[in-house]
Amino acid sequence: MDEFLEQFVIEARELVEQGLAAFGALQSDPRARAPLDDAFRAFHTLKGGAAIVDFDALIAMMHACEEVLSDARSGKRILTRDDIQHSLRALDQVTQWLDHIERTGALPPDASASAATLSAPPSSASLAVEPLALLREQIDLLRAAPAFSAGLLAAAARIASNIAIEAKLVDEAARLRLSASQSESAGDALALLEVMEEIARRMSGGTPGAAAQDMAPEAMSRSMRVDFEKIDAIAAIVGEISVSVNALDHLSETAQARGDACAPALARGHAQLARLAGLLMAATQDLRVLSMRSLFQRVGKVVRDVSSTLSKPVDFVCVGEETLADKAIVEILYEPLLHAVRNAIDHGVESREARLARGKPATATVRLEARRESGRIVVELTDDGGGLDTERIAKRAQSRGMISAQAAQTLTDADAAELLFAPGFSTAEAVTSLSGRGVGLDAVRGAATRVGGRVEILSRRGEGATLRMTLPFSTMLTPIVTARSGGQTFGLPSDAVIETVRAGKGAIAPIGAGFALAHRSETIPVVDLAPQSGAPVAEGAGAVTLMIARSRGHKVALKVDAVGEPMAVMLKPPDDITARLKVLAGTAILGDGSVLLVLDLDAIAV
Amino acid sequence: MTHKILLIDDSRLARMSVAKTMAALGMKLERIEAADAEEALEALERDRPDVALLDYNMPGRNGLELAKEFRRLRPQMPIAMISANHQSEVIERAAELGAEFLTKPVGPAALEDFLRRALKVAAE
Amino acid sequence: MQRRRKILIVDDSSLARRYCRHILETAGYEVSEAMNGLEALEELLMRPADMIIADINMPHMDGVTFVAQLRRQSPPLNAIPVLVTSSETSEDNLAQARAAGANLYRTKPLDEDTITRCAALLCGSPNG
Repeated sequence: MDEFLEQFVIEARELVEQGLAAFGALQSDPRARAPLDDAFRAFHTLKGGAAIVDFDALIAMMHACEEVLSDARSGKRILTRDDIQHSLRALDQVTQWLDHIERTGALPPDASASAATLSAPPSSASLAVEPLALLREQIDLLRAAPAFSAGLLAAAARIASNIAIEAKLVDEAARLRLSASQSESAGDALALLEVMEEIARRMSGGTPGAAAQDMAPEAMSRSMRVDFEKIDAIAAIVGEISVSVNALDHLSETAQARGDACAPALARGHAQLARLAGLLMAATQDLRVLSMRSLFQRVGKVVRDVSSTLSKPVDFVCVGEETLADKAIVEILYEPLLHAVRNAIDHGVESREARLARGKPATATVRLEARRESGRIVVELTDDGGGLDTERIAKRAQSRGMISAQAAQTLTDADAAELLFAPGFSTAEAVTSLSGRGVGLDAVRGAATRVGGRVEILSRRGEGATLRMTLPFSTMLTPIVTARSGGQTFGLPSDAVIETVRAGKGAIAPIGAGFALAHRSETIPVVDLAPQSGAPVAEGAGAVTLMIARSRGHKVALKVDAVGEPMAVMLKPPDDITARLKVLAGTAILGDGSVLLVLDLDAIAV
Repeated sequence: MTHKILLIDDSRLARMSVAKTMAALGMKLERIEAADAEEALEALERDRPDVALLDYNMPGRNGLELAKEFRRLRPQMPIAMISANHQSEVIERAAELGAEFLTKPVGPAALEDFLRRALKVAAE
Repeated sequence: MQRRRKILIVDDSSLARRYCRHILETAGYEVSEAMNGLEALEELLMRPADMIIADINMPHMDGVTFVAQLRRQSPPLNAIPVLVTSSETSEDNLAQARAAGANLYRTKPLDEDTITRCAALLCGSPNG
C-alpha cells in the first residue's frame, strides 16, 4: 500500500471516531454548537483526504454529509433523527471501506456509493440533447433576439463550433470564428447565421457528406489566414505593455522603499502583470515565427537561374531550412541573400576551365546554412569560388580615395572584406565577389546592426568566401548589456560584447593618437565611450574597466566606468532627431521611464 | 537561494500531498511543517519562513485566526489559505488579511503560480 | 493548450447543486457553485467559467435577471454559454430566458445524459 493510502487510513479512522463521538452528543442535543462543528470537520477532512487518494465515491458521499452539517451549523436546518441516522450509516460505510483498503491495499470499487448517497430521481421528462436540434435552437435564438447582443452571439458561435467539430466539420468551425467576428463588427448576426445554417444543412442533408469534409488533414484546417499587419499591430501594443509593466516595477520598488501600505499589493499586482505580459509577449512572438523554408526556396531558384544563364554548373546545398525565426528577421535576410548568391556565382565562382585548372571540381558548390546558436540565428552563404580578390579591392578603394597607396599595398584579406561594407564601395560595378546591385553591403550591415545583429565576410583566398549574418531570433526584444560612462548609461548589443576586463595601469599604452590594451597577446585599440568624462584614459592609479567588443570585424576595448545589467529591450530604430547621432543603433525605454541609448558599435570611431 | 515554506495543516496526509506537489515543481524549496497553531507559531519564530500555507479548517484555533496572528507578527509575509470550499466568505476573509486563496487539492499550476509570485515579493 | 473546462452551477438548492456537481465532476469537468445570481456574478468576476447552469427561481437575483446581467458584462464573461433550468415548464419562463440571452432551457430534474451532453456541446470536452 502506498504511503499516501496508509496515512489516509490512519487519519480516516481517527476522523470516523471523532464523527461518531460528535453524533453521540448530537443525539441528545441536535443543536449543540461544538459537536456540530466537530461533525462537520470530520466529514470535511475525510473529503479532503479522499481527494488526495482519489477515492471518488468517498468524496461524493462525504460532500453530501458535509452539506447537511453545514446547513445545520448555519442554522438553515435543524438536524433530524433521520439526518443523524443517515450520517451514522455513512460513517459505517467509511469504516467498511477502510477495512477493505487495509485488506487489499487498494480502493474499493465505487459502484455502490453513488446509488447509496445520491438520491436524484431519474427523469423521463427532459429531452435528449441532439446536436442538430441544439444547433437549430441557437439559430432560432439569434434570429428571435430582441436586440443585438455581442455576448449571445459569441456564446452561440461557441456552441455551434463545438457541434461542428463533433460532426467533423472542422473547416466550417473555422469559418464560424471568422463570421462571428464579422458579425460582431457589423453589429448584426447575419454573417454568423449564414454559416450556422449551412452547417445545419450539411448535418441534416448528406450525412455521408460529413466524411467528405474530411479531405483536408486536421492539422491544416486548424489554421487561419491573418494579415501580417494585424499581428504587427498586436506586437507593437504588446511591446508597449512591456514598457508599462517595467514602469510598474519601478513604482513598486519605490513604494517598497517608502514603506507604503499598498506596497505588497502593488508588488503582487506587478508580478502578476509581468507574468502575464511575458506570456503575451511569447505568444505574440510565436505568431510571427516563420521557418526559413520559403527563403531557402527563393535562394535555390536564383541559384538555378543564374547558374544556367552563366553556364556555370552549381550544386546548391541547404542546411537547416526548418530553422525558425521571427518574420521580421527573415525579411531582413531576403534581399542580402538573394544578391549575395547572385554575385557569388557571377564573380566568386570561377569558370569551369579555371576551376579545373585549379584542381577544383567543375561543379561549384554554394551552401546555405541556417542555425540557432544560443538565442541567435546564424545564416551563412558559402561558395567554393576564388574568395575575395584583395588586390582588386585595394586598387578600387585606392582609386576612390578611400585608402592611401601605402595602405593598399599592405591591405590584409580581413581588411579587404571590411572595405566592402564601406558606404559607396559596393555600388561600384561588380568587381568584387560579393557586391550587390543596388543593395549595398553597407545597407545590409545597417539593417542587421539596427536589430542588434552583425554581418561579416570571411574569405579564404582561392578557396571561397562566406557571408555570415548573425541576427537575434526576434526583433521584438534585443538582448543588450548596459554600461555607464561619464555619467551616462548606454546599451550595447550583447551579441557584440565579447568580455569585460579590469586592466591595470600597465596594460594600457599610448599608440599613435590613441591608446591600446595589451590583452591575451593581442593589441586592442581603446575607445573611451564618453570622452567628455574628462579623465584621460591611461591616467589614474586604479584599474580601468574595459568591455571588449566587436566593431566592424575588429576588436575594440571600450572604456567604461561600470558595467551594468544584461536585459532584453524593445529597440526603437533612431527617429529623425536621434538618427543624427550616427553612433546610435536605437533607443529603448527603461522601467523608470528614462531613455537608454543603444549604440551601434560598428559606427564607433576608433 | 533556497526558500522556506511553512506548511500548516492538522492532517499529515494533507501535508504529504502538498509536499509532493511542491517537490515536483523543481524550485529550491525547504519545507517546514506544523500540525497546529502552536507548532506554527514556534516555527514562525524559530525558522523564519518566507511563505506560509495555512489550512483554513483546523480544530481549536482555526486557520483564519492563525492567519490574523501571522499578519500581526509578519505583516509582509505572503500567506495562502487552503480550503476545499470555494465559499465567497472564506475568500473574502482571506483577501481582507492580504492572503491568497488556494483550493484543495492544490494543483501544481496553482501552487507554482502562487509560490513564484510570493517569493518575488518575499525577496523584496 | 490543455485546460480543464470549468462549469458554474447556480442554484439555491444545495441538493440540486450537489447532484449536478457530482455528474459533471465524474465526467471530468471542474465545477464551481453559487447560490444565487448575485453570488454567481461575484464568482465569475474572480474566476470566469466556460459554461453556466442556472436555475430560474432563486432569491436575491433570479436566473433570468442573472443572464441578462451576464450578457451586459464585458468579454469574456458576456460570451459564456448558459443553460437555464426550471422546475416548471412555463411558456413565460422560456420566453423570458431566451430574451435575456440564455442558450438553452430545460426543465428539472435533468438526467445525467442531458447534463453531460449539454456540457459537451456548450463548452466542449472536459480537457478542451
